[in-house]
Amino acid sequence: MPASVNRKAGTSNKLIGVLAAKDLWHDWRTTGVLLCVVVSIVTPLLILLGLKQGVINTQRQLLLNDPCNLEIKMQGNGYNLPPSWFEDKTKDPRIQFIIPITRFLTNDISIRDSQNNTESVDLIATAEGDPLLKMARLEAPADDQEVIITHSLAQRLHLQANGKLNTVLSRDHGKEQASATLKIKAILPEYGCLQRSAVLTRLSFLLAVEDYKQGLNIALFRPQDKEAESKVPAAEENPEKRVPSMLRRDQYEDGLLSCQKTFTPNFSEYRVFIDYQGEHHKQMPFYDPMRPFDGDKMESADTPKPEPVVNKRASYARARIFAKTLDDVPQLADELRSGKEGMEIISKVYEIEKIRQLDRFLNILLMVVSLIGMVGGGFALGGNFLLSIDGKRGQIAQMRLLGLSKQHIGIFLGIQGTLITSCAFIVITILALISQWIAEQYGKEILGAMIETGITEIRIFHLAGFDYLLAYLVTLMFTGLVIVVATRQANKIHPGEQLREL
Amino acid sequence: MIEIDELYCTRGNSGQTFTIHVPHLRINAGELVAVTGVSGSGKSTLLEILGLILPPQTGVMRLNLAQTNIDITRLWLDDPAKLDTLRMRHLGFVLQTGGLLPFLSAKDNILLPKQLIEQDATWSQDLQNLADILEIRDLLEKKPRQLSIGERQRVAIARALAHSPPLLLADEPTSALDPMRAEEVMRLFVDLIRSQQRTAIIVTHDYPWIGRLDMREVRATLETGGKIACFR
Repeated sequence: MPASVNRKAGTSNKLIGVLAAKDLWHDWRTTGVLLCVVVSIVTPLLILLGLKQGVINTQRQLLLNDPCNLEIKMQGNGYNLPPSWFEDKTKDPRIQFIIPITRFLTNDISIRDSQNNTESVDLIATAEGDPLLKMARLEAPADDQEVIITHSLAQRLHLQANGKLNTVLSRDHGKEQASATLKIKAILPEYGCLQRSAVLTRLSFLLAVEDYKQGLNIALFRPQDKEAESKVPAAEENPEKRVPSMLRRDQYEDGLLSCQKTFTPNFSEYRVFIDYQGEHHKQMPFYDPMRPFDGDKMESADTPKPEPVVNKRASYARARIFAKTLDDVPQLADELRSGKEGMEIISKVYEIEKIRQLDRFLNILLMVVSLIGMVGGGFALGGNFLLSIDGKRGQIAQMRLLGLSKQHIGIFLGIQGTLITSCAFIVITILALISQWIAEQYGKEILGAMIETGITEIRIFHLAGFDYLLAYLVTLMFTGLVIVVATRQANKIHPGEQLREL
Repeated sequence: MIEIDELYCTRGNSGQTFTIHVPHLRINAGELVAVTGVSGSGKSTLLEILGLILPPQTGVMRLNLAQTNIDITRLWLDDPAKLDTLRMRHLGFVLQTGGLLPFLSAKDNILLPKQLIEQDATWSQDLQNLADILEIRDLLEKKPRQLSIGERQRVAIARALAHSPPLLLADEPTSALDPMRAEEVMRLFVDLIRSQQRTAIIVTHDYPWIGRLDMREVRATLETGGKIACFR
């Protein structure tokens, strides 16, 4: 056996590739037909996928952009939620934000407008990380003097950011009233589920309001009538006897020991310092029993400076909970409902489920259309490819006569299939981008109202680079199957045909 | 170069079969052989067997290539894929109407057999000389469909000789040409084969040239009512 027989032919795949490309270029009509077949199968499927993803993503975006959809609202007048419950929930990766709130009956405050009219609005506890604030890129109130108000409230009472908010609190069936002037830090844009008038404050403010309504005197709130002010016990009176009567013991983990003197350089800066059992001399700024404070004594070495610590409670009535994602909402809501608390929960599960159902429906639709398209298109592509091979029998026979093996013919057809698919995909991508542009033009008109609501990314059509890549690879795989069949057909062509037919 | 003994090859269905029989054939290196016979006498079938594209059913066929004697009958049974390589390296074909690849220019068609063997093959001076002898220098950039039949045949001859194969097989290379042009092309072909000392087997109907061109004749004779063609 000569070495040349055993030696592999030097035929390179590059040369086969050049021959394949030249053949496609030369026979451009057939190439064009094959290219059109691929384009006509894949483009509608890709556009359908783009529309499906666009519509669903926009719906999801609409849900996501309104952070209220992530909220799991507790109904009922209150539960007994200890701090440990909140600690557990904070550790739950499905929860992005949680903050205690008070009972329904105590979470409102009256706002006095310039005409001296008052109206009651909701108080909502907030803090850094609150999705309502994050979405609006707002910072939480820095102290109890600052609040954020909703767009609705600002519009109705003609309030503006950095302006003043006059609040009025009443108790004892309106016989006793107090007021506080707060700074409006910012105005919260209108969200789907927060279109009402509301004031967002720090938790400590909300607790102070609750305490005031329960009979405590709070430094933050200035008594409205002089008579009430005159009722305030004198500094010499024993506060230890009075304060415990105003504070419920279960509101404090360690129990109240004593109340120190107060001072009155400015009414709004009233402070009472309460010592807790086991924390000797640790003091907290707290409720005002309306007593003058001995400022000198406060500065003395015996009395350390107070630290601003949020009031502690043994338990809280309710909580504002925000799930991390839409998909976490149903599960979290179910868990809270079925937990030992048996909470009454309201969430947007129904809306979320509707989107999921639409997603599932469109997935099935896409799958059915894809299947029909792929099977029909496969036959069309396969048929056309086989016809084209039949038309090139002499050419293939000639190539075999020149010594190209069956494997070479397979590579030749494989390269042609890849080139046709790749060229078709350039056309497909251009057509898909044009479709996207058209869909977005119409989409913006259709969904213009949604854009006004602050949603920045409205898409009726959405295809990511990955989608194009995946579609290309699937088409290539599909073309590959056609090529396998075509190669089997081509390899049935006998090189001798070239000798006989010409 | 070629040794054939008692070779049989049958084609067709059970009802209508046609068999070719080569009892004994020796073709030496540098020899020029004309295979003749009436139409349908199996000349092309014999050429297919010699061209390593049709396996003989019985008998012995050996090819002496690159100073090695190869049992072709055995190779068909053991490793038929190697026959493609043998064909690519050692055989050159000239067909009735050229058999050029339509998507390549005349130049690329001529260069292709060389490129199939050597990856870096380029248009050499030898190929240029060959093109000059065959008077196709001005046709090199043209596609086959732009050439006349005579021009295509001359390009096909150049392609068959381009990679210097020791054995050339031609199937009625001048049948599509007018008699004047046919003799001119055939003479050119034969002269080139002789000048390059190649072995050639040419299927032809043009009996007068066989003598004029000093070719050895192997004739097909129909036997058994035309069902068997015997080549002697």
